[in-house]
Amino acid sequence: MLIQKTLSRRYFIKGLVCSAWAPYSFSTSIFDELNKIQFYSAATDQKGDHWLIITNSKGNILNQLQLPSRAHQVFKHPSLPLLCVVARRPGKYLSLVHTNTGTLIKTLFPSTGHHFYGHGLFTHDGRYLVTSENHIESGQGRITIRDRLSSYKTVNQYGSHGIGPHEIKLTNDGQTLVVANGGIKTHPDKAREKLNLNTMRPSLVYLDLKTGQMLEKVALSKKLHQLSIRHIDVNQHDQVVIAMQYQGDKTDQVALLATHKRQHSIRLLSAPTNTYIAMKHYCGSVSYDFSGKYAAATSPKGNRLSIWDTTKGIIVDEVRCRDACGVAALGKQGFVVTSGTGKLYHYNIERKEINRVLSKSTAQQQKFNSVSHAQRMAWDNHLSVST
Amino acid sequence: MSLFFTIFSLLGFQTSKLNPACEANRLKLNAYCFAVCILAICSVSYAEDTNPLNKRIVERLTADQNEPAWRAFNISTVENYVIPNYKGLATANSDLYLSTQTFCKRLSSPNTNELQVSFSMTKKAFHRSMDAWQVVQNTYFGPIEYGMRHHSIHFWPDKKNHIGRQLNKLIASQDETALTVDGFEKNSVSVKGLPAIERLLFNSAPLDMFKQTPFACEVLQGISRYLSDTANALHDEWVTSMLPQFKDAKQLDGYFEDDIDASTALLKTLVEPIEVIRDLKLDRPLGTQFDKVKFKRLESWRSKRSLTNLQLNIQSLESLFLGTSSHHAGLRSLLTPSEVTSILNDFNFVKQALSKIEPPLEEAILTESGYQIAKSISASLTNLHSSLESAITQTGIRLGFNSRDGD
Repeated sequence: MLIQKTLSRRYFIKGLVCSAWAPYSFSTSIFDELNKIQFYSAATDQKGDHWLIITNSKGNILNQLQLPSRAHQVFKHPSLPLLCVVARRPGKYLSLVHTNTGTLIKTLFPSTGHHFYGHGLFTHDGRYLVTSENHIESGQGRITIRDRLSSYKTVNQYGSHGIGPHEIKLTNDGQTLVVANGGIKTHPDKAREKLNLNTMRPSLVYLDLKTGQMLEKVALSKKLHQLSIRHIDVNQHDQVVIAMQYQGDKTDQVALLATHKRQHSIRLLSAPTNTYIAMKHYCGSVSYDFSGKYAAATSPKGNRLSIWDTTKGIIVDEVRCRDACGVAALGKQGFVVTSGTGKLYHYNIERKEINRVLSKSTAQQQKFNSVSHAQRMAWDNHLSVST
Repeated sequence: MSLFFTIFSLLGFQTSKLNPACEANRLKLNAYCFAVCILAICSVSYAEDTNPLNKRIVERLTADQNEPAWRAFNISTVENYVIPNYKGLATANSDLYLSTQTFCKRLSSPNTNELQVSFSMTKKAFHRSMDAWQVVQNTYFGPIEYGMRHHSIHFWPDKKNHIGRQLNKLIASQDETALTVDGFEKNSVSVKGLPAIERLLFNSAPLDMFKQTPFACEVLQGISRYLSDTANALHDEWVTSMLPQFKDAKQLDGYFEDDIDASTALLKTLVEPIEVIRDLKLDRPLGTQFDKVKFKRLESWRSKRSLTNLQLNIQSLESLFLGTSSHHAGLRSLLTPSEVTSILNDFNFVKQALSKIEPPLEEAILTESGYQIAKSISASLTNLHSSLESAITQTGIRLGFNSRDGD
């Protein structure tokens, strides 16, 4: 009976044999693995103040820095102890922070007439900082490149070939920038109002990082023009996984996950109708695992974490997880997930098992929990992990 | 004194967590923990913590520390509020199905009076079903999430006239197989619920329509049977599958993660519907100014019961807050007296504004004064939402963060 299957946090996808489900149990090996790792995320406390939080796996805050407003993505420099925190759309600041001390090194601002979209990256050589921005007057997306060695002076800026560029990634050679043009026009004077829902046309664009020349642009069919391409990840084969947000009718049944390979069209990933319905037309974040085969997507509005086999193009598992949003690959162990309820979870792909990393369910964890402050924070959209 | 209460309550909490006989002695412990927590709520605790950030945040027991009290709230709310409301819907929808059967049987009867009476009874039964639905409409999680049952019962707002088109198509098809139990499942969600029935019963000449197109009456019966089956299934699922999830929120492979997760689900049904009511049931029909008003955007404009819907929505939310009896205390038992007073005041403002409307709302908002009163209802809902959300935040429960985001 449908209801028997669905009234659990864990939904077994047809055709898969899943291992025993052990929620919130304590796994020593996972814990040891997690011990070496630092997590970076923006967060908001219960007073509504915004923070950059650097935490370890025990939930102990190693460093924290109060931010001027809500932030979105936090990412680390490839070799230096340097973190970059990008303000949430319409973002007015970008903070550069020392990883070890949590001190603010420098604050950058968008160039005149622009705002940040909450995402960015460092080039593979670590020299350039690349951000997605909005040219406010025209509403057109921009990619801005700043040189770290010249005090982050803007050295290049070019069009994103779309409206609302959101997450950006580099291909494996580090020369091609992949841009998720969400397609939604906004204006800072109109808060977060969406101004072009009837005409929006999201796209995935590949640009030459150096010149900004467009190498390829793909879009979904016209029928799906309200499916906003927002968050992406790139695997070692330069396959792009796309997590989308639907702006159309509440009762429309649409796919929210897709993959793309250069010179091909976008492939929508397959899942039972109820799975996509339960995701409430909204994905918050997406990440490949270490193998590049599996991807995890979060749906905070639907309280779901879903796991996808991007080779076969199908869903392989889904778990109920309240307000889950940040997700990042964690070595060979699977994924780490953060939630707006202040919790941190580990999902093991091999065992198809989710565990709350911070939990009171064992005495051992309780010991750590008593000094945990992270739980009282609402973790923001995106999570970065570093060993 | 405050510290004493804090330590006492924390000790109580630890005991209940570590006691292996907790399951066996659940009732006893519940009562103990509940009493402890009531005392604890009355106190203001400060965690002994060296982290300045944390010290600033914690001003009374966190939700986690207060878990037994929240658990008691959850179980009581499900047993005394959610399940009886779903029972109410099941009963009303079963009656509606019976009424439509009687009415359709009499359609070919030469006795016009009998037919009129039966039609009138069916309309009354529809109103009772809609009444029951408005009371339970806010409980949108759990069983109703599956199989699109929420949309099936009440497809609204219908911005693209799906109901009209799909209903005409179904009636024109004369396809009996589309009305069997299995066949009906395959129909569009837009024709399965109460708004479709409303269109059949409240149009310019419903009896003529039914007489000229008897298949429309078959469709009416098909929809009401579906509504009856669905409401009964939802009630059963709440009793047999959902209630145990609240009684043991940490069970393996359970629906919830813990008692606070379960409380969050219930509290969201108190707070979030207020925004939906304001935005969809009022602000959307009212538009930005008087000359932009569109009464056909009201929820039940055909049956002219949009005001009743609002009154029932607020009444239901208030009973979730206040509790339904001396055995069911509601959310207010977990808040401070000043928070309770402020929220009750805001409920009263909404109710007073609603009472100033000269029914039906469909006509009232077409007058300048009625429009302004409707605007004031909308404003009072904003205040109510804000005071509830702020009080709940103080308990340490966060209703949603990323789930309310748009990035």
